[in-house]
Amino acid sequence: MRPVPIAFFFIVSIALPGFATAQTTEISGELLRVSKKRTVILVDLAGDTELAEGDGVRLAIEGKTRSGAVRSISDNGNAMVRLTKGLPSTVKVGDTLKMTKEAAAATAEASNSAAKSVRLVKGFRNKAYWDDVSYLATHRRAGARSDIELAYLTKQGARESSGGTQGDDVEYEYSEKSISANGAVGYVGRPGLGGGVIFDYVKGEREIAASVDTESTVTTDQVADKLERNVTNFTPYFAFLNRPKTGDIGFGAGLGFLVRSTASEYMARDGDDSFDPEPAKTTQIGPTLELIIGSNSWAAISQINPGIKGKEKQTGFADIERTSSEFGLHFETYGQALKARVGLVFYSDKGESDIVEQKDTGFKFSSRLDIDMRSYHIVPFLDVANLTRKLDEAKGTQTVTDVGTRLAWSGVLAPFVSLGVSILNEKQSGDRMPTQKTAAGGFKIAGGVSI
Amino acid sequence: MMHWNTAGRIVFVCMLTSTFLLGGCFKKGDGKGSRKTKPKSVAPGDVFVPGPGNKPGVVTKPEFMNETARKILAACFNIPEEEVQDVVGWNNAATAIDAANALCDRLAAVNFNGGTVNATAAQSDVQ
Repeated sequence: MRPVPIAFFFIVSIALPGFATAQTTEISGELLRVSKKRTVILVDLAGDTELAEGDGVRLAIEGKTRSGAVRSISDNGNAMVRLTKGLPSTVKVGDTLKMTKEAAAATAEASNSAAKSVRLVKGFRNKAYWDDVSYLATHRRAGARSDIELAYLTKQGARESSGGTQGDDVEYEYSEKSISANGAVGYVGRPGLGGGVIFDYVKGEREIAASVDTESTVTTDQVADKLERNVTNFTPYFAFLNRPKTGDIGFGAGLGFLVRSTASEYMARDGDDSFDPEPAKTTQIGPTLELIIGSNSWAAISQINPGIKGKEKQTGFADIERTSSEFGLHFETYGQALKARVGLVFYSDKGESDIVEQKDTGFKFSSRLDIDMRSYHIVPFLDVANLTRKLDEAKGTQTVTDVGTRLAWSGVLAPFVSLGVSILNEKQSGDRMPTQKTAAGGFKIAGGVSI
Repeated sequence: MMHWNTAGRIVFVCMLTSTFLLGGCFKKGDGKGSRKTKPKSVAPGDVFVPGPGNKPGVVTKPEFMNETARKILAACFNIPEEEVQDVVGWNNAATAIDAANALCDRLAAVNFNGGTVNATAAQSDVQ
């Protein structure tokens, strides 16, 4: 039984035309497992295949025929088939099996199990194996998808502060931690129309602290600051996908609407003095577009966020009006046991008010390998994100490097876990501030389930 | 079971590697330092901290006052809005509407400017 997270999607999928259409299609796949009695087999289905749990199938093997029924189909396209008679002993694991779906059985089953149908398109990927980025590419099969991921990040390091009007020479202790949750619920039907929503939530805090001696006054002060930050992203989207049949080119388009909210609170202490301003809040909204083209062996995805607009607000200060744009390109290849993805996203943001002008530019490079180990996937990743901010005469550059491995198990309600190292490098300087260099690194663990 | 064992070994190696990196490469700062002079006021955050007032340099240039406060004071003094800044001067506290109303009250109480200050400026005067 393949669970469908939202009843509405279940009802819609039953109503969609084409689900109950019986077909006699040749299906091929690699034999992965055979039971002792050779009556239950596990087959890695190849290419674009329409098969439902309960479908009857007929195998033609070396002049002999075997009939059976599909017991279950995993998310990555492994079908468990129970045969009425044992598989010939000459057939070995690794052999390619050819079978046809029996029309009569399919029709009877399809009438009451439409939601269990699976149309495999091995090109389009699954969030459990990759992560983030695209709402189109995660719909690798027709039907509903949902997943949720929780992550914990902790970093420690040092911030060196030097120069400035006070003549700083301080090495601060730097620590950072955050918890985050993200997930998605979506549906794309057989005609290729659908939609869903993606959400992200991050709750984090950063602290720096040091004991600082002041030469002119011969005092020692505890100097510290703390920044708490909550970020919420919410992106509803509509999608159209024309999935590729074997050897064909497929394409898709998606339109989303990003709603981003950031609430932050900053506090600084220097001896007995404090700087404890009002909280700041940033809201940004705007469209996001995605286009995808690909086959069963590759896909190219472009993302365009032409104008995300918003305001950075803080009581007592003029709002900073912000407009940001993003342009991203991703390329994926799909081999039988090895898949790969590289992506590059460019980012720009301009913020203006009566008292400040802020310009951001940056990029994010991401790369993934997906090594299919049959019952689970190993997905090593390397991401590099760079952000440069000019703020009047001040300038800051920030680079975050994440490297690690994701493990994703196959099947329904498949769990996945990511383990990685995150490295922060930052430099800031300007007329009204000392030069600050920050280097920190830490550990990130994430896990979740894909339904 | 074999796959789970393999996965377990991978997780274990990843955690060992991460622990090594945490302990070696990402050494925490010593939390000490010196400076020649103490700052006149506590410095705000840095260029990456959200909030217009949390950025270096910006705190020395606060917004003069918000539009509503400016209208209240213009009605209070019976002067054009453009002249409010000349009367009140640059003052961070003047950004608050309460502060503007309190200022009107005090000026009216001392018969400021020959009693032209209107301490009972109604909301309709602001519109």
